[in-house]
Amino acid sequence: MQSTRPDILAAGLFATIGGIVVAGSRGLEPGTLMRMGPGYLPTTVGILVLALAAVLGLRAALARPTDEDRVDWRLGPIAAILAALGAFALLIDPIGLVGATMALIAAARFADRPLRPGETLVLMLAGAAFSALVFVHLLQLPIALWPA
Amino acid sequence: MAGLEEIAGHLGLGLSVALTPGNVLYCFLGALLGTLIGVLPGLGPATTIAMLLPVTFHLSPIGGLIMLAGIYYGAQYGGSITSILVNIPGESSSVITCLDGHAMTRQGRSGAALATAALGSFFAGCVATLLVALFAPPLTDLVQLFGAAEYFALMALGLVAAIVLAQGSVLKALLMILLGLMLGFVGTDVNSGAHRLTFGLEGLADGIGFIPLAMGVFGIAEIAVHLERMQGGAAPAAAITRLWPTRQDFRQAWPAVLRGTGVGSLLGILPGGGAILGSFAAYTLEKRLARDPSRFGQGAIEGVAAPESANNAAAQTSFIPLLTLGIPSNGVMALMVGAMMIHGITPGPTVIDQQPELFWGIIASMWVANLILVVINLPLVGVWARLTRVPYRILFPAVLLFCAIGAYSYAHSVFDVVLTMVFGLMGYVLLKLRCEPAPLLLAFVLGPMMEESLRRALLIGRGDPTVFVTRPLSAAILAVAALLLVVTILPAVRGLRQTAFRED
Repeated sequence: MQSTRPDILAAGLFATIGGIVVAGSRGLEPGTLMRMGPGYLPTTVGILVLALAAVLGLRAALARPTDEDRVDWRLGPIAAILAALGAFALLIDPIGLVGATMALIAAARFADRPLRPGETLVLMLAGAAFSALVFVHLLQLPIALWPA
Repeated sequence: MAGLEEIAGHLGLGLSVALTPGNVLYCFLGALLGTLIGVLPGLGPATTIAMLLPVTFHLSPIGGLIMLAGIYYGAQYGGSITSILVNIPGESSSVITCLDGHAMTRQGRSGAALATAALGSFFAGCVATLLVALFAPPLTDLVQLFGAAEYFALMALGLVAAIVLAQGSVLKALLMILLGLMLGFVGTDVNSGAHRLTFGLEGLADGIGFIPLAMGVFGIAEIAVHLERMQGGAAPAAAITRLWPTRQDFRQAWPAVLRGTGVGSLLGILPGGGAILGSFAAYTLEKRLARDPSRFGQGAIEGVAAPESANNAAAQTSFIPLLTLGIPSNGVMALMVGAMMIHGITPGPTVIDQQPELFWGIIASMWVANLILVVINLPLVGVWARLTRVPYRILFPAVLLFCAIGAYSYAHSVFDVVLTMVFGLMGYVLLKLRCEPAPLLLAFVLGPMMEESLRRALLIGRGDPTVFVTRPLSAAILAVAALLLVVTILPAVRGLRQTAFRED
């Protein structure tokens, strides 16, 4: 399938970021070659990225697709991992390290099937005990363990 | 080059720092933790260091850096164990070891392969440590002659080398470098105080954090890709046979160890060099020199001895550009720069004069770490082998937890955890699109330094861009960079032509 070609997608991604950078540096003073302002290099590099991304995309669009070009997206694992980090970010300040750790492990385990609830429970408890012991007691990081 | 007594004096000073009980303990813990995590399938040195960085923040600068160096060597050796026993390389520098190392395992000679890797690495480590002690001071003197133009040229050479060494498309590697540079622009501009590309986010005023970026692209993204491949199960690991190599093994291995050490030491110094290039080159050399090249890939002990010695030697000598110039030559060294900055040390030529204890302490600790590695690895190799069988579904939540706590605890910032998610997603997509993350991180670290020296060189040169080619040293470095780039592109052009012809 044409649209799954990694290079075309990569070109799109690079071009988007390059575009954001060029647009985002519009308000910045460019300055001169002798006295560069804050906007000089971001604009230059951004434009260069747009140009090179165009080359990458065109080259891929003109080439004949092969089976090796296929990208298999399996979104389960990455979604579960991001959810786990998100849960940690949401919970660490309000309820402390123990709760945030357990939530992170519980969410992360959805990245793999079958779910094995028993094993997950053991891991949650072990993880909470480990992070409390190592990070708070041993390394003395000033993180609250429980809700304040 | 420094006199013999001077070197002995330096190493003596270094050892007096490295051998204090506290620092030996950090070195030991680093090597142990590094091996412990590096041996887990799919976790290479970069991921291991990124994950363990926060553990070292609360130590003294020297203790922290000694521990990190220990982690690095440990992780590298751990990766070799996994390559030999389960044929899963943690990162590209141990891909080569898989070829003959795993072949030896299939023949029931895993013990000999592991022992050869350990002893070869130890020998290479000793030689490379001496080389670092020998060459770092004169290079530091040379560097005093460098102006802004030369610094810029040298960093440009480093980035070109990173493009050359990246696997796959040159164009994509170049784009990854530019992406890294752009990420480095974010934050407050040093000269004007203007906020650049912060999009009104207060958390970005000080720039993108090194930790969230490194953990995102090396930690989170790698876990996700690995989970897709492994389905959470354990890889079957072979049992370990008799550890000691036979007399014939020794006879075949030692010349390869010597050559690997030489090749690795040399290539490690080059910008962009390091473990990956060293191990590839050493393996190729052995195959060329062998009377019967067809043995390679079938369990030739030289195929383990040479790349393993080379990657350890290169791992050590790649500290030379870092310690003398302050320029990281590869992704792992970029992580080291990040760690040094967090400890308030700006790596560069001033470190050796202003903080000799730190400088020589780190060098001496390289040797100590190598010794510790041999001591813990030969007896514990059975334990490590069992660890390769821990299912990934149990490992990855733990790795993820380390990343989350690490990202949060550095600045007590939930924003940094969110950034880690963003870069994790970005790194994942880029990995799926076959873009290697190491050049990006390297460019991110080098970017602000390059911008500073570019601006300064142009200011001194009154806005004349020819300043980079009229200064002989800068011109020479840039010429090497240009040559390197052309040489890389040439075979690509040839390859492209060949495919075009075939399709006609």
